[in-house]
Amino acid sequence: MAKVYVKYKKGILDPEAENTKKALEMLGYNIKDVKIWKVYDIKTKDNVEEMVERLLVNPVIHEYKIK
Amino acid sequence: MIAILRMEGTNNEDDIYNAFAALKYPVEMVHLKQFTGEAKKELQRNIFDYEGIMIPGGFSAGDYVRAGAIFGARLKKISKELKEFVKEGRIIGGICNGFQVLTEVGLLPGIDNIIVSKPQISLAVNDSAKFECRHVFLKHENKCFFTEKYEKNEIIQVPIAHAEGKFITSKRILEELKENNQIIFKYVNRAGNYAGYPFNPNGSMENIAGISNLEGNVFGMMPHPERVFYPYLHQEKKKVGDGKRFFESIIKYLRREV
Repeated sequence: MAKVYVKYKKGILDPEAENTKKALEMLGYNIKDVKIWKVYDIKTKDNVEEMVERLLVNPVIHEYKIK
Repeated sequence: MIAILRMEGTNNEDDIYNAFAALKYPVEMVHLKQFTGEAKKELQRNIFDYEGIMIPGGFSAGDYVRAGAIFGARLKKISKELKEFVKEGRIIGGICNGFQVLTEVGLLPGIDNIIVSKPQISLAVNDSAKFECRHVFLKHENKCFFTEKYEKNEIIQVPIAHAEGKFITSKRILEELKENNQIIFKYVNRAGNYAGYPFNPNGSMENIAGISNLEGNVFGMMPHPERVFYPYLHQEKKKVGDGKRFFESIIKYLRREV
């Protein structure tokens, strides 16, 4: 079992997060920043690190952690 | 013979097929599984029976994970063969989702090696966070085998249809792409000048719309030349569709007329 958390690297614009921030601000909240993480909850005994490299992450735009 | 490589969710294969067929060049639809040995024996195909592979647009594997990522990961099963294929001077082209596949599989930019194991380019979510679907203007910056029949610096009009097309790469790769004349198309305004949104529809670095590898036989672009193969597909009156010469260029190269 492993959880893989993927998000955009610093400096890479996440349009979905930006729009969510805007929307929350329009609802009257004071927002400093919004980050969106994608979480893959994987039940396996195989090599998750390898799965991340082969499919789940593009290193040009993403950073990730496995827990 | 050209192979149009399809899998679950590709949806532009007919337009590309019809473009080659209209120009009387032999073309065949091939499913990814026919190349990777997962199909029934009698249906299996060898990539070396083809001079070229075209990867069409669409939403392969539902665009889940990232656009083109699943198609790319599955195509990596035949990385060795693809490397040899490109080395022999055969062609691989990707349009829209096909361009995303070529970057994910590591065949573009083709600078450090013919194919790299980790992607060096991302076609990320458009800055507008919208699916952008309309005609754009492109400037033909440099020639490659896919664009031989266009004049250098010519402005053409080609439609786009994507939500993930923002070209992002590292500083080093960007510099190398420029130095090696690998940037083939850039988004421009009607006058042919580099401009921001909506002319650059997705926020791509340096307005990049299409690139090739070092040798010019692997090429990917976000806009759809197959959708302006005929003049009546344009918004404006034209005698010939702006996309036709794209296919004529490929055929010219494959017939070794270049």
